[in-house]
Amino acid sequence: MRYKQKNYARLIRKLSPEDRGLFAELCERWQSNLGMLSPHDRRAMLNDLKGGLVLLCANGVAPSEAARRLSEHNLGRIYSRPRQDWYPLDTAAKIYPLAVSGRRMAVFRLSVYLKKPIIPELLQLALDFTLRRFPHFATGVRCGFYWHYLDAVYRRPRLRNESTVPCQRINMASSGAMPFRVSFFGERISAEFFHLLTDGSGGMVFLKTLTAEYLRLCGERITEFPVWETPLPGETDNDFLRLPPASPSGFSEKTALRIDGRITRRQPSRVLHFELDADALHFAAKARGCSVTVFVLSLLFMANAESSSGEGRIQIQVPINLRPTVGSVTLRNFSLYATISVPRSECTELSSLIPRLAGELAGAMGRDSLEQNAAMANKLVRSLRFIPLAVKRPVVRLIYGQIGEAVFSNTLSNLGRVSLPESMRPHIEKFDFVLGPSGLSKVACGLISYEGRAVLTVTKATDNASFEEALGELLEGVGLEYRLSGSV
Amino acid sequence: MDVRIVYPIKKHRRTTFEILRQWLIILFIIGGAVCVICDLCIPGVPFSLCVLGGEWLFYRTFLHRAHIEARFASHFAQTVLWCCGYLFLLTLIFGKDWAGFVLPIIGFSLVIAMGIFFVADLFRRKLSPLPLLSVSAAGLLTAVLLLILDSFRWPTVVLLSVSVGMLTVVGLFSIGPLGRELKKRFHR
Repeated sequence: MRYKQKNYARLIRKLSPEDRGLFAELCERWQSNLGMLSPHDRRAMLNDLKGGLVLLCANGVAPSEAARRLSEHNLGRIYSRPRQDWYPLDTAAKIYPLAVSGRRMAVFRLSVYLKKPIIPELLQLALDFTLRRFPHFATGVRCGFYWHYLDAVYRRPRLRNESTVPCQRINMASSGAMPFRVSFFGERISAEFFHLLTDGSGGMVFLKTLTAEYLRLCGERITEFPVWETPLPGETDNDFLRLPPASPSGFSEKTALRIDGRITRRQPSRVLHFELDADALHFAAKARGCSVTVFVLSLLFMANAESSSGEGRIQIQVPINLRPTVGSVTLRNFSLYATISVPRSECTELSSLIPRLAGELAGAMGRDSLEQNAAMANKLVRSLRFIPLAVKRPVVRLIYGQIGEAVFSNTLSNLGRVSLPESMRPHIEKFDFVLGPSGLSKVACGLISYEGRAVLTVTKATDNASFEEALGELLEGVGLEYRLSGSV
Repeated sequence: MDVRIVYPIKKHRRTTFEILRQWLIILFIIGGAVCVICDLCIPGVPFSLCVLGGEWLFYRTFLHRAHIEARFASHFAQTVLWCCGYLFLLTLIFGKDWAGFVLPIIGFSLVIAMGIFFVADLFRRKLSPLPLLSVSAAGLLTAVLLLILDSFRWPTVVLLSVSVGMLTVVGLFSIGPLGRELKKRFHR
């Protein structure tokens, strides 16, 4: 902090009196826009501004242009006025804070890789500005009498330098803690979210906006994903309630067979990215008459079968985005899990597995099935609404492992193809998507593709390497070349 | 498998606190069980309740990790309330009549501490008056109960006045946000 102030003082000495006045005025205007922050956060944010000004001027940006880029208008009113907004959790999110324990927290991460190394000073400023566009992200989890909820917090979001494996627990206990964190490492910007805040689709909108803002601060001409845009009506809605009523069903699967190996103390034990040619993956799926999701799912079933012993059913959860079904724009959770189940003994041939999985997935993704599942979730929430949180919490924590985690072997979440505006594409290398480990399940997989590159990420909760070895062999067996990267 | 490392390399080490916490919990469980067994074998004052109560108090104060919303003010208030509960337990076990004197002293100290905490950052804390309101209301209720059930003592009167005073402070500064706060906390 002192280092930043020294550099700023040095910069100020070099400036003309007009520019000096311009910067002093800018600092004052910033100060008046940070009224709700604690003195510590206010100082930190002003230092963000000074650090940004120093950096831009050092890179040859004219002081007037630097002041324009870092205008106080970017802050909006999020740090200056008492906020009235608060958000009850959506239907799917209600379970997450109840099930949090010392070793369990539903966290996922979305990362974007730029073509140049990240400048932390500008990324911090971009993060400060981006919260204006997403007020419901600038919240903390609070305990109500019946349910948790999200309440406005007045905090500077802190950018972190990545220091460990992805998807570590997010500290939600301390005052002003937000249910997400943003970090950087080399060329990578990562946003990790506690699942109660949003799902993969909502998180992607946040990451794109943050990246666009960062690129704007770097001087690129990007007009899409503006932070000054007013949040759309419906972005914070619980759209589970918009689904038409149906007869409730679902949540009745039996215990699943999981891969061999002991769950490690460190969670996740390893993260691996299988980087594939998206077109080759697409063609391989089409050649077998199925979608990419079904094709990858069948590979995961085979890999599960090879890395587990004993008899039983392999059950893989596939989250289904419900937004297209009702034309939703919500940034809250709006997806449901379909569980696809096949006995281990029948996971022997891709050719016989694919039609079966395609049929099961199509059935699970059918509108009726989705509406029935959503109705079940809504009914569950309604039936628990009069039970105090203090009673619900220990009971849910106790049974969540048995009914929530024991029923699936692993998860495959396919976020699909990421689309970006033309102006952003030259700066972006790739994306990846990491699902956090979830208790008893020892593997979780996330798939995302961008510009001809698909990244299948495997998150491990055991040191047993048989799953990734089997998956690698299967990919080679179907003629897909891959590059492997990840954590130690 | 040839893996290109793209994440920082950091060995997972448990902190001293985590190790200490684990050993203390094991020690407490064994100690508590031994005390209960001894207590069942030896007739007399059930001293194992004091041990178990003390262990619980220590656990709640120093070892328990809340995962959601553990702000300093609420943790402090909860700790003091657990202390009061423990004192009350000791009174029940040993049958001495000092809880009626000590509890109001702890109670009004807590109410005053919460009041100072509230006023110290009035601009922001007036938006969430519920911690002070609930502690003051509990203090008022305790004082009234003690006045009805127990004898008339000065700490009870101080607790009563301090609680009423703090409720007035909440009423003066936070009557608007209070309705909203209650709506949030009790939404279904």
